[in-house]
Amino acid sequence: MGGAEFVPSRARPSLFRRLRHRAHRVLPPLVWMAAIAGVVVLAQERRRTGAVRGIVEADRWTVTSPLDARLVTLAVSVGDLVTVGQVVARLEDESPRLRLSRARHELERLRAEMQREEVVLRDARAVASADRDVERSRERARLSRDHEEARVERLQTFAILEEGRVVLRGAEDALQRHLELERGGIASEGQRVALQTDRDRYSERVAELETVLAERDVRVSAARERLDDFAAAAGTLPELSEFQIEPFQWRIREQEVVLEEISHAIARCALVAPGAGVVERIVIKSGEHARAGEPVMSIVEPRPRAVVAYVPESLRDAVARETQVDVELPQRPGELRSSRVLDVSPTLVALPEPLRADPRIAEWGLAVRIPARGDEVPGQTVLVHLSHR
Amino acid sequence: MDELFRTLFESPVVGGDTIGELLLHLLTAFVLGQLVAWVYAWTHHGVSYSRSQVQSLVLLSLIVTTVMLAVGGSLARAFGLFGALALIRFRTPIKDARDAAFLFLSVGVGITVGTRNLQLAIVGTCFALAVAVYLGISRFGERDAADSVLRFTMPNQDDSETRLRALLRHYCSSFALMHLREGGSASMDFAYRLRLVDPTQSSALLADLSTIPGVRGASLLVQDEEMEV
Repeated sequence: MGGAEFVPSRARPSLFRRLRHRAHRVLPPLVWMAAIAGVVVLAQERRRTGAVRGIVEADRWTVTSPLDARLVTLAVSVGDLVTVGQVVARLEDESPRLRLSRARHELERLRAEMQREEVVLRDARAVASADRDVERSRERARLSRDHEEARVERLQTFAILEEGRVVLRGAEDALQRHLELERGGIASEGQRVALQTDRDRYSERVAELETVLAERDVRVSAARERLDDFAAAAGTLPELSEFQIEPFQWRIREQEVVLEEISHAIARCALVAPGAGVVERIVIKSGEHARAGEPVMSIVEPRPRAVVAYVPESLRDAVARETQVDVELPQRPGELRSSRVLDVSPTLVALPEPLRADPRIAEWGLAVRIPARGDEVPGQTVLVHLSHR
Repeated sequence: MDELFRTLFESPVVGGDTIGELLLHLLTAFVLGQLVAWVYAWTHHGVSYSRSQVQSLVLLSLIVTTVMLAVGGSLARAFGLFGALALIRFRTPIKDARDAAFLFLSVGVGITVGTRNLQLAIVGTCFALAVAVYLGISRFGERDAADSVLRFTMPNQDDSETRLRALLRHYCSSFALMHLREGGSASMDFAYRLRLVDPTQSSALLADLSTIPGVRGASLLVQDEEMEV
């Protein structure tokens, strides 16, 4: 076939056929627009009302175990009414009592030890006192002896001195007589000189003796002074030293504190109800072991305070203060009681444990408080119907 | 049967989603996911484009929505999900993004059923699978590429080229010269990427091509599902 003209052997497909072969390209936008339409429709139909779950709230107390012990006695059961201070359970107190007994024995032992130590110290003090007295006697005797010796020497010196003075007077008298005789021309000069020499010699001797006597006086005074000082310094031994007994006293005080602690622990073995109400739940049964701080039971006040409903955040605008709601109790299904909302929590709060059983319900919601009428059972789950808008 | 239906599909309380609310969430995820995929396909440049990647963008938005509705605000479930995914990812080599999406869907089914949310599990799974089928049928993410490749040898003459163009305009909605090579004895080897108006007319195209003087060795390679041109 020649020429530039192209003559097709088949006609171009119709628009319908072309669209049919390209239908898969048109499908996504159509589906997308249909989905948008579905979103718009469903959003408008979205429920703004319905029933939410709530729980009846009341004052609740938890009795916890104050120490690690076994629960030996459970004095109440679920549903029992208890008063404030009523003993609801007893923990095993055998171990604390044994510890108390041991602590008492230890205290007695410490006291006996302290007394024994005191006796030992007193004996030692008595022995030391006796030794000290003997020593002092010896010292006193020595000082007295020194004093006596000094006095004796002084007396001896004094006696010699007096003797010397007598001899000196004699020599002076003899000289004086000689001088008179010499003046009368009876005695010679030579004899006079000899008498003078004797007299001078005796005078020097007396002067020496007087010096020695003075020294002896000083010695006597010193010995006397030493004796007097020794007598004045004599005293008694100090009392039993406190620092030797104090460690025992501290240990005794510590042990007394331990005793007191154990006594308190025994007292705490009796678990009492902190508030008046009904036993709601018993966590630890008789015979089981409880750890310190672990809850043993919970007590709830029989009169409910309020009903708290938990509303998902998507319904935040469906509830407000004074909004009318209907409460349905499980014991009276289908019977709705009108009430009004007291307040709505500003933020999401975690649902309490009993309401988390349904996994389809979110674990967080707005807490809506509704007044209780008094016939609700604390802790029970109720349905709260929100009003239609 | 009614009891079964009630068990599976009714939720007695709000938040507790109903089927309508679930569909609302899933449709919204689908709308936005498809939008993301379109923008991705439109703005993607380079040779690493993959249709399965584009489709997985849509699927993952749905699957993650389903899983997050099941997890809710629970930290324990979130950690459980994280652990399950980490374990699977660690042990399973994932070669394709679509494989990862389906793997995640399986994990999501397990989580939604395991959290006793049967309603969500059934609705979410059915919806995700319906979307997967729709994506497959519509060949979503396929680039505006050619259907076929036409190769032939033709003498380098003006009137031949004119007739060739007229032929291609008649049978094709779009065509582009892909390859041109000198074929010896004043002829050229041509290779065109085509998008046929009617794929059933491929034989007519070849027949008409062979009527152009000098054309020889014409061949038409038609794209199938296994091959992207």
